[in-house]
Amino acid sequence: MTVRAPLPPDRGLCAAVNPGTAAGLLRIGTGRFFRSGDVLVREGESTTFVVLLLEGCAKVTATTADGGRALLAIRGAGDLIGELAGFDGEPRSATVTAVGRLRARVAPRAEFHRFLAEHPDAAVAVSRLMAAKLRWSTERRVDFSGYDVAVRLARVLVALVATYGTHTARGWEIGFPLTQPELAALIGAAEPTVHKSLTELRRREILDTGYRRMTIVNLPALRAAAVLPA
Amino acid sequence: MQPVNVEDWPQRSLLGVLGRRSKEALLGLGTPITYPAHQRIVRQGESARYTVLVLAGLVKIVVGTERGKDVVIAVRGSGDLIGEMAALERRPRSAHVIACVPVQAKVIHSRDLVEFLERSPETSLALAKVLSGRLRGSDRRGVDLIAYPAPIRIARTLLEVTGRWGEAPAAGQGLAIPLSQRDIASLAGTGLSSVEKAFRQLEEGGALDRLYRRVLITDVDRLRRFGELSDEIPY
Repeated sequence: MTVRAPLPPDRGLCAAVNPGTAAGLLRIGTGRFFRSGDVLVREGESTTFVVLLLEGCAKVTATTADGGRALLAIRGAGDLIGELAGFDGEPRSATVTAVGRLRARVAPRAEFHRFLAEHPDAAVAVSRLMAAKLRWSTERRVDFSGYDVAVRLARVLVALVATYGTHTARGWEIGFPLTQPELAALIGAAEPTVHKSLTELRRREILDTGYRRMTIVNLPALRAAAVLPA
Repeated sequence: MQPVNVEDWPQRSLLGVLGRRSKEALLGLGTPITYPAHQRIVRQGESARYTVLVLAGLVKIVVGTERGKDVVIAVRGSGDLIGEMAALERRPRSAHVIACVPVQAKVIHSRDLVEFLERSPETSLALAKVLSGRLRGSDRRGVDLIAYPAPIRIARTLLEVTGRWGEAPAAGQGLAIPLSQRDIASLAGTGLSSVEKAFRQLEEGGALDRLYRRVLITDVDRLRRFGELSDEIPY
């Protein structure tokens, strides 16, 4: 019996390169499995390896002076993790933790950079993905300064659908195990306020939630709540 | 405005990171241009056909929001390439870019930049390094927004902006804060009144002085303490 190799992620780095390059990416470094709660990359460390996420999700967090954690971003299948240190030699800026089981390729910096040198389409794609991360980071900051919690929540949900949403019979599913406290941390809001806003979105039948599942039932209405054009 | 024959570009800028040959080649591209202070250099939403390489001066990156409140998200200065990702990806501009002071620059057409990057993998790598720095900076700012109150955020913003782009009008007198109070407030994510209050407190504490019609940071260590920063944090 032959075992079929799992399909490559249909988004992120693998989807942004030629098929030959994508095949090469799936063989880069070493294949690794991570369990829920495993730390892939730790803030402050001087490591430079790169992680290509193939299946599962991870959280990107940073510590604050009072020992709290700020949730900066989410990473899903197809996303690259830890590529910054390899480019600028600085210590890790954030901790990346597996949320649920995770399958990935882990490659040392030298091998990853050699791959980029040999595959110019990958080099361009990596820059674009980094620019997309910067856009996400900037959007969260601008939203924080410009909008109240209800709007910020709607905006981050719109952004999550755009990046990680899959269309199902129910609507746009954010196949992402984000809990309510995580959602609150992501937009820098207090949990009770986020709870209230989520309840309102459910009441208006814009959103449907289950355990670690969020489906956007009415995307145009969500965009309106996010003060975004339809 | 000073002539632009500098060898020393700010170390976090693209020209500061590049080796001599790539730097000279990049400087050979594009058309020289000057912008007066407050001129809009790039308009949010426009299609991006060119990038701007800043040679002298300071610009601010401002995101206009649907509700009309503009947010200053970053400052860039000499040696920095502006808007290259939008130009490379042919995306609409994600923000306005406005000159804070008179600016000398080169306008480089996207097509020429793409061709240059294909010839110069060193420059592509340098761009990735600069982009890494920007992402780190943006995330750090994001953490500060949630984690620290206004006065500390203001102090940190002043440290970063003055440290990177503050000029010394006379030796030993301090570094001039290169942005208006309004722009400092926007960048720090605070209200203007918080900045006015912070400036008064810093002046009373001896960290800030007004001299030669400019506002100077005269005691960086005091400002660091105001921002609750230890030596390890790179502001």
